[in-house]
This record gives sequence, C-alpha cells and structure tokens, in this order.
Amino acid sequence: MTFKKFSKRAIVTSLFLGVVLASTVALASWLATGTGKGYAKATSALPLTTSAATLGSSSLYPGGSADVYITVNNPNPYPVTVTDVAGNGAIVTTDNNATCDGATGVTFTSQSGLTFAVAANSSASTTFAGAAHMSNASDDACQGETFSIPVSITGHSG
Amino acid sequence: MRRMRTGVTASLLIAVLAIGVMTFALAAPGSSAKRAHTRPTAKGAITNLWPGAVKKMTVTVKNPYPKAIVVKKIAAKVATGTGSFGTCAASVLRIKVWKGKVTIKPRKTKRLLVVVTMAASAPNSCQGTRFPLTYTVKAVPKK
Repeated sequence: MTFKKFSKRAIVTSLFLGVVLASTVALASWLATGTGKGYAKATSALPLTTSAATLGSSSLYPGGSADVYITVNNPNPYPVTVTDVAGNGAIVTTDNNATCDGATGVTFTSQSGLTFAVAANSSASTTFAGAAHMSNASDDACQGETFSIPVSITGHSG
Repeated sequence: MRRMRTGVTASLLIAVLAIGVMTFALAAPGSSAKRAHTRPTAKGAITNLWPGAVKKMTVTVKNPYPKAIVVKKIAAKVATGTGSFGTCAASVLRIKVWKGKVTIKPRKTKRLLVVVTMAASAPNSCQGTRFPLTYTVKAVPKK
C-alpha cells in the first residue's frame, strides 16, 4: 500500500519534472533579439535660382508687350513644381543705362497657378507670353535696350 | 521513510532544474559575464530625405556571439522628428520591415538594406528634421 502511494507520487513528480525539463530545453533553442539606434534626416530645400529676360529688346515698345523667357535652376535632389513667379524689384537695363533706368516704363505681370515642373538637379525654361509691358512713360534712351526682370519663384516638391 | 522520500524527490527536482539551466547556458552563446546584456545590435542612418523620396538605408547588424546567427527580421520604430522648423510627425516616415534569412558569422557584422519612404504629403515644416529610429532585430542560431 505504501509502495503504491510512492509510485503515484513518483509518477506525478516525474511528469512535473518532465514538463520543467521540456520547457527549459525549449528555452535553450534561443531566439536572439537585439536592438539598436539610428536616425533618418530630411533634407532642407535649397533655393531655386533663375535668370529672366525678355525675348529681345526689339519686342518691346511704348504701349506694347513682349514675352518673357525664364530659366529655373533646381539644385535640389528632388523635382519641384513652380507655382508662382512674381516681380521682385526694379526692372533695369542690362547695360546699366542710367537715363533709361530712370524711366523704363517696363513692368512684369506676375504669374500664378503654374504647374511648371523642374526635374531634380537640373534646369528648365518656359515663356510667359506677353508678360512684359512697356508704357508710354518709357524714356527715349530705352530704345534698343535689353531689360533684366528680377523675379521671385515659389514652388513645391514633386 | 517519508522524510527520505521527500528528500529524494527534492533532490531530483533540483538536479533536473540544474540540468535544464546548464543546457540553456550551453546553448546560449557568449561568456556568462556578458550573456545577460549581449544581444545582436543594429545601427543605421539615412539623410537627404524629401517628400516622396524612396531610399534604401543601410543597416549594420552585429553578431556578438561566438557562433553564427541567421537574421530573420529587422524592424524600425520612428519617433517624432525635430528640426529648425519644430516637430514633424513620425507618420510621414515609413520604414519597411525587413524579412529574410541572412547569416552573420561569429562576432562579425553584415549590412542589410531597408527601404525608407517619406510621404509626399510631408509638410514644409519637416525640412531638416531628424527622426530618431529604434531598431529591433530577430535572429536565431545557425544550425
């Protein structure tokens, strides 16, 4: 009778120990998890640059308009879409003709709502039809002159 | 007699537990002094991200063990970015979970590529932002 009791205990104990052993062995097949640190950094946009000019001095005359040819340089590693081109300062002659610069009578019509795409790290050109105007206030010294039209450009990535 | 049986049972229990611990200790590589803290590590960074950018980031995984491991998964958690414009939500950055089977020799490193995407909708304020990343590496011993 005593022997029978001991056998039951032994069986229960063995089962328990078996489970313990099995779970311990299961842990032995380890899964190595590790961690680490790093970072991701967004770039900062570089400013777009441009050169703007009328198609030719002969195109402008008092009371007339001319097309404006513009080249946008995108130094960023991603494409941009130019949405606005606005006048940004006095329009003067490229050869600094002081008499003409005193009264060029030339104005630039700002452009908005554009979808002018410039690829990454490249340049692109476009023409704004009739965007330059010369008024009757233009000095006689402006005949044959070429004008520089400073502009500011607004765009976004993509 | 009862005391003796209890003693025998306790001894058996201790012995089996000891065997189990020893088995685990033998299976887990590395010296006992370092084992508790030594794990595979990952590090990697990427710069020049912009809205819509999809780039491959090099993540270097180090195997600190004296036996080869097989890397099966690398995940990265992105935290809120900070920069000169303020903060930028972590959600603008997506880092694809890397899954595969790459063996790293004992105490060696291996470089793996993880795809990083910045959302095209990332706001202007995210310019120049730095996002802290935390990697999780899962690996198993090479059989």
